[in-house]
Amino acid sequence: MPGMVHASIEHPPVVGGKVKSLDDQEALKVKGVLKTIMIDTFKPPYLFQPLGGVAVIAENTWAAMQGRNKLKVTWEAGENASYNSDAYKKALQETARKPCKVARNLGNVDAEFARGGRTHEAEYYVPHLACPMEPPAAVAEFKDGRVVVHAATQNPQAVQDAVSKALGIDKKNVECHVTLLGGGFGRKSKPDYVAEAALLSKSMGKPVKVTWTREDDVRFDYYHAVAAMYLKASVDEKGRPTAWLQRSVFPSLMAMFNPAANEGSAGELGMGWTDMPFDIPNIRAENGQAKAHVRIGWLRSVANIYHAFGIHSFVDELAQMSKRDPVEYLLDVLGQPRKIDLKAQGANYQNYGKSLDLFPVDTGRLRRVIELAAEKSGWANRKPSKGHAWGIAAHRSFLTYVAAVVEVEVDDRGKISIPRVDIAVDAGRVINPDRVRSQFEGGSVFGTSVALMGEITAANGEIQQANFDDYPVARMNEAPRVTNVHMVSSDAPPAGVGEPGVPPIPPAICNAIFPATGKRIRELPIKKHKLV
Amino acid sequence: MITLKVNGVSRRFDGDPDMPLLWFLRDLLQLTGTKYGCGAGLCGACTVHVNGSATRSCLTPMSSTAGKNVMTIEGLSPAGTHPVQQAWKQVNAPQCGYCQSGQIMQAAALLKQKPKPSDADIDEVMKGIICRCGTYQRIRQAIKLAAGVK
Repeated sequence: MPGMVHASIEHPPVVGGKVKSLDDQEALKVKGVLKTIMIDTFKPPYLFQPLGGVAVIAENTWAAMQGRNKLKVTWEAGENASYNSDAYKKALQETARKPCKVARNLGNVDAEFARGGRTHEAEYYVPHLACPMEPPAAVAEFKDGRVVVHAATQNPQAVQDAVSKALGIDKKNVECHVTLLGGGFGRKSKPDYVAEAALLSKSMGKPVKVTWTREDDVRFDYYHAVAAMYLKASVDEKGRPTAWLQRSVFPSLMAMFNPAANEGSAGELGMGWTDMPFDIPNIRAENGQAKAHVRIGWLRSVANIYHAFGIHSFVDELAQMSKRDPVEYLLDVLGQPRKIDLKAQGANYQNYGKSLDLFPVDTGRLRRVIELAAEKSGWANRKPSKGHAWGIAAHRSFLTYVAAVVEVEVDDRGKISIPRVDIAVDAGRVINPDRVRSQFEGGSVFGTSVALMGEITAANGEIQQANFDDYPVARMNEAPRVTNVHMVSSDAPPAGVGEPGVPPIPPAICNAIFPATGKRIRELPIKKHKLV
Repeated sequence: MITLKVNGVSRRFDGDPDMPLLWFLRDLLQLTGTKYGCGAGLCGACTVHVNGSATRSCLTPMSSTAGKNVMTIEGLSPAGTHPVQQAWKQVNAPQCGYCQSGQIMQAAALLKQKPKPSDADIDEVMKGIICRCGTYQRIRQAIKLAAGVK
């Protein structure tokens, strides 16, 4: 844009923190730096409001970044400075060990456990996750009471909302142009960075481009929630579950809208938790309380990531415990094809906002993708050996049924490689098969990053990772070498394809690592564990 | 004053000699096909050719570019007919596209050096360029297609 200037923003290191003092003398001496501008810290709830801090405005991005490095800022950290990932994890795990709020109930789990049969229990944990490819960026021009925005956003309506609130103008005076999106994965549905650009443009009287650095992106993201889960089952003489108890505890996305929110919403619980598909006479799904101390956001497939990891790792443990073939066991536990009436079991099930008549929870379709993935991967003829094995997981999310068989190799130094993934998909009617295929190829890689290496942690409220060296994502040599996508031909209404490829991958990888190494991974990422 | 060539055109720069080539290209020349991803040589989104070699422009200070020939994605083949670009289109490699100019520049440099790369050759250099969408499988396919290897 003609006359455009560039901004780099120093955010409070702890969410909710405020500037205590600012010395910008050295920053203003940097060639090309024009000005520094304070941005107020949001008033709760944080929504899509700017985090606050100090913006350095300059003639180009580099000068803005250099000026920013010379700022001397002291901060008032605020209450989130108490956030430490280690202690928080222990607290979530403690919560998950005790009875929590019931989100779904069938039969009587406690009575069945009290009968004294064989039982198995396990705990699982998934850390915070982050990071699109393109760091957040936006250009805004405020002129004559109107704002024109060009932004990498998944949600132009939210841009209008956030910008109009930040500037105190009507939404109709916010015009949003959506640029090509350098990877959204949920982060770019939350336009705090666009509101920053608009505020700075108003203050400068010029178009302003805000560019977050990678360090800003990793340290000030809306993070995928951490989650602790506890599962317990009793089994009959064949190893089939007779009762199944599952508890999950995670800070809710709802904290974005309500600072007091401390339990999972029906939407989050409906992502792979209350809709647990197995045919078991006694089922109880619970959810415990947790308060958010960083901004929590949607990340590709959202709560399905941890729920699928817990449930599909645990069912594989039960199969292994009874020395049964995991595919045969899965099909047995799924039972006869049926449509599950979750409402009758007390679940406030949202079904991704769609009607259950059009999009029932249909275990027959889940069975079919398991059978297809097993067939196409050559499951029946596989020959697992030390350091080389296969795992399966199958999960419905965003109304689509997905099964993944993952082949894993672990070398004698514990290094993992993934030669092949076979994903079977029933997404209803498919309009563009090539793009559906590409989404599942990508989901396979995204899920691999989650499984192998993704972990965001906080110490005294500050995020401890900053760039791709300490928050790695899968590179070409670490990603599955081949992901074969097998689509079920279907006349059912079209369903999601962007997100559903992710959830089955982490449990399928871990379910392969177990027969390959004897190590059961119950806590992600896998890089934290010694495999040999 | 630094003079260099960018996509065959002579350019001059008299700003901060520490400014990375990336920001000269993007902010001063408006050649925005080269992307910022990490600023630390970790992701490869900013990859361009300097005197024919794949180079991370985010770590290349302007002071080191005097007299050099820089080629960006805009200069690789303005008509999009470079064999790597053609192969990319044929296999529908990109998803969001953000890393793809870096991927293409890296792949073009690889094929110039090793016209018939093995899988190991491909891994060795392409692992430097992160794709968050996970298009690696098609990138490998496109490189092999462009090279005429299986």
